[in-house]
Amino acid sequence: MKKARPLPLEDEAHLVEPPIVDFLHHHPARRAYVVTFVPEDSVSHAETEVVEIPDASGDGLRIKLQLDKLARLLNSRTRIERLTHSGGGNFEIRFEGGKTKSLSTSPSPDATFGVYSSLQDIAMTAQIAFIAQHRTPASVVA
Amino acid sequence: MAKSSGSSKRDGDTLRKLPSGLEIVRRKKHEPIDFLSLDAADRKKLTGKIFGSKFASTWDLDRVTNFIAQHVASNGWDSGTGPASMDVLVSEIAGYANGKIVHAIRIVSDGRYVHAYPVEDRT
Repeated sequence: MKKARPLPLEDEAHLVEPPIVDFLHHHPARRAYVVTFVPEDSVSHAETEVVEIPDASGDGLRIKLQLDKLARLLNSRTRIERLTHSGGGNFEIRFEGGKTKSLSTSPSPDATFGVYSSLQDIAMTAQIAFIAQHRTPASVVA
Repeated sequence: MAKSSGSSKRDGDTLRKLPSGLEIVRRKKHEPIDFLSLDAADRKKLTGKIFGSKFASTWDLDRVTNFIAQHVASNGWDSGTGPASMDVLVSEIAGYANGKIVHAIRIVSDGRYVHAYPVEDRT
């Protein structure tokens, strides 16, 4: 059996590529997840874009699922309240009740493939929602 | 040099709640680094999209917070404004973005939380 190749945790650039979640929180009054994300250059050259995703929508439910999964992977019994990108592969995660966890790409048991794939999934969901919300309707020729 | 009042806050924590209901948050990825110790390639990488543009050392946390508060107030942003952004040109070096020295600061609100970072000058 082939030996598993270790994740290139020492090189943050390999671990995270745009889209990246820049800042995420749930806005109770708007009943939406508000996601600031670092977009791929093909989507926007801006350093960040913001998108609001209704929590009851398909995308909103997907984000909730990934946030719950992240909390479980990080051994938290409380939900994630705020997620902040600290640059490279580093994130600061704040849970309800005020507990925080710093996720770093330096060798750490928290920097698992599952954690980063959840973060990537949230970022991709946000980017797709952003594209859908900013798409210019095709002109109709009568 | 006096320590900024928000320097004990964690990344993403609220630095100041504004009368408008908006909250200014700390964003460490945009805080100054030692640019002089970096070669051009590293400077470009560490001030690009993945690591975030960086303020010059003249822009400490207190100054950035006051700058954001002033411009949010003068533009009338509040918690009902929704996501918004503005670029402010400053008469000095704001920092580095994509390895270049820049003179503009983008203030971004997601409708509740506000932060700022240097952006490339518009030509």
